[in-house]
Amino acid sequence: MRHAARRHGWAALACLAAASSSWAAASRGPAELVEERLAAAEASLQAGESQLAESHYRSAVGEGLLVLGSLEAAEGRLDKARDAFQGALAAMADGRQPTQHLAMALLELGEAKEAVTLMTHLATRNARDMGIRRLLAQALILAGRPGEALQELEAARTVAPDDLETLYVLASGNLRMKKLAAAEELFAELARQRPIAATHVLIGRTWRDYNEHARARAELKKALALDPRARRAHYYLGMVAAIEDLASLDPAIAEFQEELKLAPDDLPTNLSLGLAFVMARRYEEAIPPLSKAVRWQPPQASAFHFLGRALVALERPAEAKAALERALELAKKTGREDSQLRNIEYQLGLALRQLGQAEPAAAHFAEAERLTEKVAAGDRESLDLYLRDAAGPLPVGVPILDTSAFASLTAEERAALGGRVRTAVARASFNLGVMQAQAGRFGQAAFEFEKAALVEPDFPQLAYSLGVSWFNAQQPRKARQPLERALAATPGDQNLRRMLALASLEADEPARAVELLAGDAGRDADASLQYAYALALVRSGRVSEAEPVFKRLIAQHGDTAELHVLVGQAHAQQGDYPGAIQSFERALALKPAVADANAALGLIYLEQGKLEEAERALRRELAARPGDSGAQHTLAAVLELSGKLDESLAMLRQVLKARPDFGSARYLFGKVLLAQGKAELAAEQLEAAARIAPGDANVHYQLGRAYQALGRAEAAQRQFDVFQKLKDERRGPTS
Amino acid sequence: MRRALPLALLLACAGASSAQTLQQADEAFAAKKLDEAARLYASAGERGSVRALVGLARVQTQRREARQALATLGRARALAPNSEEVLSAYARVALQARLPVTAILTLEPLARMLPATMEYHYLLGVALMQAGDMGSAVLALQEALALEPNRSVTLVALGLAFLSQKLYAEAHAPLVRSLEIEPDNLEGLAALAEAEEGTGELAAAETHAQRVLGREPGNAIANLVMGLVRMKQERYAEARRFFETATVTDPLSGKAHYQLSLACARLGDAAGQAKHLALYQEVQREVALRLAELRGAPGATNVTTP
Repeated sequence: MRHAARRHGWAALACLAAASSSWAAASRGPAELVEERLAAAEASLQAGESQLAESHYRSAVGEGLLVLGSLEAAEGRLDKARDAFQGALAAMADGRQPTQHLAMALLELGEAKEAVTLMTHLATRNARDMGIRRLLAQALILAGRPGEALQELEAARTVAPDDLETLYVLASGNLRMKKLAAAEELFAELARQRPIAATHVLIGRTWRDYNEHARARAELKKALALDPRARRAHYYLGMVAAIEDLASLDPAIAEFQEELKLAPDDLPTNLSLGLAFVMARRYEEAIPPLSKAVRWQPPQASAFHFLGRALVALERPAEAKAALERALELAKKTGREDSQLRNIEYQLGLALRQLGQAEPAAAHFAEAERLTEKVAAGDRESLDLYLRDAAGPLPVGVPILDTSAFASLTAEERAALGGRVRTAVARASFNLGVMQAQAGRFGQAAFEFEKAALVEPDFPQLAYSLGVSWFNAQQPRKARQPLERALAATPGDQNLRRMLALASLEADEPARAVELLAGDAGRDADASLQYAYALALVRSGRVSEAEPVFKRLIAQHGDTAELHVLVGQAHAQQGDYPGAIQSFERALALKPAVADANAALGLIYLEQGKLEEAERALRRELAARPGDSGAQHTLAAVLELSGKLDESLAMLRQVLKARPDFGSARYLFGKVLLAQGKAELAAEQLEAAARIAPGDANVHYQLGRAYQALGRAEAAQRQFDVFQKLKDERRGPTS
Repeated sequence: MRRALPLALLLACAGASSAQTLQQADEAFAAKKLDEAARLYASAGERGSVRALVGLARVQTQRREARQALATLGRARALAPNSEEVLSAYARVALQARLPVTAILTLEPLARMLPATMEYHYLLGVALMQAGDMGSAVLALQEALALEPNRSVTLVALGLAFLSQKLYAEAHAPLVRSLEIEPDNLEGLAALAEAEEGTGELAAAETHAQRVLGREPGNAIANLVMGLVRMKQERYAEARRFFETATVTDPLSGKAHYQLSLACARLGDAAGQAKHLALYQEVQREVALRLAELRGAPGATNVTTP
């Protein structure tokens, strides 16, 4: 796909290359720059400048991920590069650089549509950035929308008419669309604005890329007229001659030789000259330029291939074998099964046969034969094909990720650099997570920890922090996996084991909770833990095993207030109110502010019609826990029954502010309003209650009454009908 | 890492000297001594303290000096371009100052960097609505709702964003939901009435709009809806009165001005028609300018009918 992007690309993006390797221009390396961001962040923290620290941490993450993405791209792992660039985009406020990197990765992965979406938004916000607009045009081309690409470039040119790169790209775009007159006019404008030989070489080369050979030749000749020593003019004239002058390769060879007089070590020209000599069967003459061409970095399969071919023809099989084996290795890396691969296999077979190695030779001949059947009929070997492949990237840059900053590094150096940057990114993300967790924003903290896990899953304390964050963000399902990993790393951490047990219980994995708590030596000393264990046993269907745990719980912790609350709730659930009241009162005697005891007592008293006692108990609960909406709602019901309607409404307003979906509270609110004669307001509340709980017969009854009060007899009757129907359904069929 | 040490030392020293100033500034701010707080924050801000600049902007905001606050926060942004607190403060001040494009350009990165924070998606939606980019506003508000599904104000905003694009059926569901959560939200009820009018449910629209007007006679949307209903009933004089009230409450309602010009035309009031058509076009130009600004291009676009 990288190759496809190169071949189809025509946009000039030189500025992007410069932006993508800003560290290359700096005296320090990329890892050092990211580490400096980290150090600055930590110094800012020490100075109490948390905003500055956060900003530096985010820069470290963003810039580090850009480096990691580029490293992944250099290794050909474009999907990982894309992920890294996405991470970089989520780290930094200025999204221009990461977005462009991400778009290029997407283009190379063949995901042009996504690249267009990204670049359209970026170009909308940065209409004066010509580099961005050119990349958008490139994405549009690759997405099969060349007309829109031209439109984009034309619009861009109105914003910056003096931008020569855009002018060039627009001209090339017209050429691509076969709008030759428009292209010619724009190229002429380009030549007028920059009347130097190099401009004509560029234009000539572009005409040549689109097979407009006569125009190409004319431009290249203009370049030489302006400057006889213009670089690459002879080279491209040679290219044109190789295609046009079918009768003989001599004109092409002569042009390449002229070019080499200007630049004897120019590798593309040496390669092209070598190829031409081989095609012309001038094998001895081919050896010197091809021996230079094989030094090209990154190495070109064609150089080794043609060197091997010349050596086979010259009956120097040992040298030929070495060259062709290298050619084969390089050609296979492209993944293409084309005429070049077939020819390399064939030539290697010849070299091996010359060496007397019949068996391996036969294998290569067989492979060549197999490829002959696969290679398309039109894909015949031609000098033009090899020359195009050997020509290298387009002259002013194509939309491929610039990995040149890393190209000169060995694989080991790249791995070492990646490791250093990974650690820095993980550390910065980890610290961002810690800052969020300290601010009590556990969801966002988990998001930062996830980013750290993406680059360095084994970063110290990461799994633990991630698990704890998700746990505190009340996401037990997401907490489980990192907590499991953290526990595997520190199996002796009892607190971690317990947190995982509670997460498992909440995430409907009671069996795992049982497993984790079964051997917990400290369980008996902690009533809530023992309760969780008993609950997990019950939920796992191991009720008989749960019973002794409850008994032990009572025997061991009988006198704790919390336990009496738990026991009281169990009594209440079974309808044993005297037993429940006894337990709650005992709990309150031990600890007057114990949670839930007064609320439960209030509910029981309400059910028993003891409104004064209920109100007192509920007010005590709310004095200790003012935000308990359950207790507030119960108190509102008590107040309503006591005729204290305004107080009831005030309480219900608080409940509904905190929990707008609380259907029973909404119903009660409407009912109280109706009792106060505010039928219209009541209808609003009751309509909402009916939407929240359509199966609650009482809501429909009260709504019917509200409509009655508003004089809407028909609507009222409909509600009474619903009420009756629901009542009947609840009673069940009667016979 | 070694290279960073001098910086660390410098910052630590600066921290030690400015910590006291910042503490005094915080105390002065808490005691509502805004002049003193401003002086102290400005002094620490001069020494490169982002925390001080944020504090200074807070004082300026309290004094309703939005432009100065933006300038101060701009300095803070230059020092800490990726700080959530700085970006968030900048966006809020921009929104208060009715600079939606400035707010959008700050909220977009915030929503990207902190995707789990509902507020930034919501504020982005609101800013986009202010700027007239309703399509993008819908997307941002939907993101906010994905994070907090039962937030009434977000549901109403989403409904209004749909209404602005004449997507009446789409507006219906979030508005009904908002009323389930907060039945006495008049803005939501009025918007529901507008959606109902748009889908041809005139009786329901009138009932709901009247309910709103019973409690808030000047409500712009409810008056607009009543005007639209009366227009369809060919009761133009009544319609004109409703539209006039709507434009008094919300002079930036292009739709109300446009409808008022139509009502005037039906009543043979050529001057009124011309006046309100011009006002409508002015509102449209304002929106077009904001959109152009958002898209980084100068100049307004064509004016279209609502």
